[in-house]
Amino acid sequence: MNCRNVVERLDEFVDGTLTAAERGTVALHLESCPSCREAEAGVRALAARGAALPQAIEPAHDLWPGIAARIQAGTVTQGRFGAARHSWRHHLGALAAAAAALVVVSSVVTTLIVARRDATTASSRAGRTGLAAGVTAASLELAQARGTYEAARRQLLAALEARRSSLSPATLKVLDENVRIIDEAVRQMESALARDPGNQELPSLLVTAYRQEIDMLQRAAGLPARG
Amino acid sequence: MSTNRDDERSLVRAAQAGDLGSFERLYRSTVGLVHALCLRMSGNTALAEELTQDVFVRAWQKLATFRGESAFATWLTRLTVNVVLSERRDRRRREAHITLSDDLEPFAGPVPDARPGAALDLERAIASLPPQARHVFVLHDVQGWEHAEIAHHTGLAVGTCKAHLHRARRLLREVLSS
Ligand SMILES: [Zn+2]
Repeated sequence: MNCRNVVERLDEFVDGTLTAAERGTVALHLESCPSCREAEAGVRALAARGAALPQAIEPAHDLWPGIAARIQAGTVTQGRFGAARHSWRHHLGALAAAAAALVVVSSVVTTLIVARRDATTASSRAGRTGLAAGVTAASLELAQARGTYEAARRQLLAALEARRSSLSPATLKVLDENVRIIDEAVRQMESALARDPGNQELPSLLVTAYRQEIDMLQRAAGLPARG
Repeated sequence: MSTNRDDERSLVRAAQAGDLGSFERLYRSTVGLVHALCLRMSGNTALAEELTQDVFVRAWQKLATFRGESAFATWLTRLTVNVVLSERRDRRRREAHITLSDDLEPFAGPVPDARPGAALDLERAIASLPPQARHVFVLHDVQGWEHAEIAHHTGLAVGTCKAHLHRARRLLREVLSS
């Protein structure tokens, strides 16, 4: 077996998939050929590096909201829960839309915050912290979430109203539209829950919608003034 | 996987019964595995995120077919490979008029910069491989699959898989030593 034949078989030699006879022939050649031995070491080192790469790489973005929205949108047509639950499932489309819109508004808001961070004075942020104190993911269990949500929402909307003139019309338009979408999704889920109090999924969806709205309002109330 | 096998079983059962919260926990514990595989097989960051989403939507739809014979991550890995390969087949059909051959596909987009030098060089080099050589290298050398299993999923002959692996390793050694 010449060098060319050996090099062609090195991968299988390293992977242990050659027949015993071929394996013996290659091994014999390697004993007497430094250049093929070097090639063999290279294949082994590369395979080891491949195997040592991390098995997990987290995505740069949280992909779950998009996945959940697609799953919920898809479940509407499956109808595997029967006609009685079909109606509220239909409303989940609104939540999916709200979630998608929120991604947009969140990135707009984040961009604004980052872009204007330098120009932000301490006073423009005063009053932001503590506006919605106690509103965290953990505290928003549905039992207590409604009260917390409604109080926080009132405070935040008032704070936002007081500084409407300092925000750009484009920002206000996006905010108003998102508030409207989430309010509508919340209203529909609340009424679905009233019709179907034992429903297992609606409470956590509602809490998610509450949290999203509070989060958005909190960001909006903390936005630096324009100019 | 951060969950142990019993936790995983009960999460899978709850998710199979329609509990999206349990499915989200399964997602959280496995998304890194799925995303890494999508990223390496596609060689494209944006596409990898789309594919990762597709995988979990498909997983939810097909969850009833998971019988617990393997670990959930193993089942999900096979599903991921199928999703990535079928997306590529669909895309190639759509782009048939501009994609003349395997090797003429545009080289990959950027890979994430979060890892140290040597590993990153290898990731970049993998992303620059022709698609089929890249798929076989990732499945064989990174995932540890055997040629027979790769052949089964890709529809290639075992001998063709071996040829792609040989080519991938040769190209990678050239790129990495230059
Ligand atoms: Zn030789």
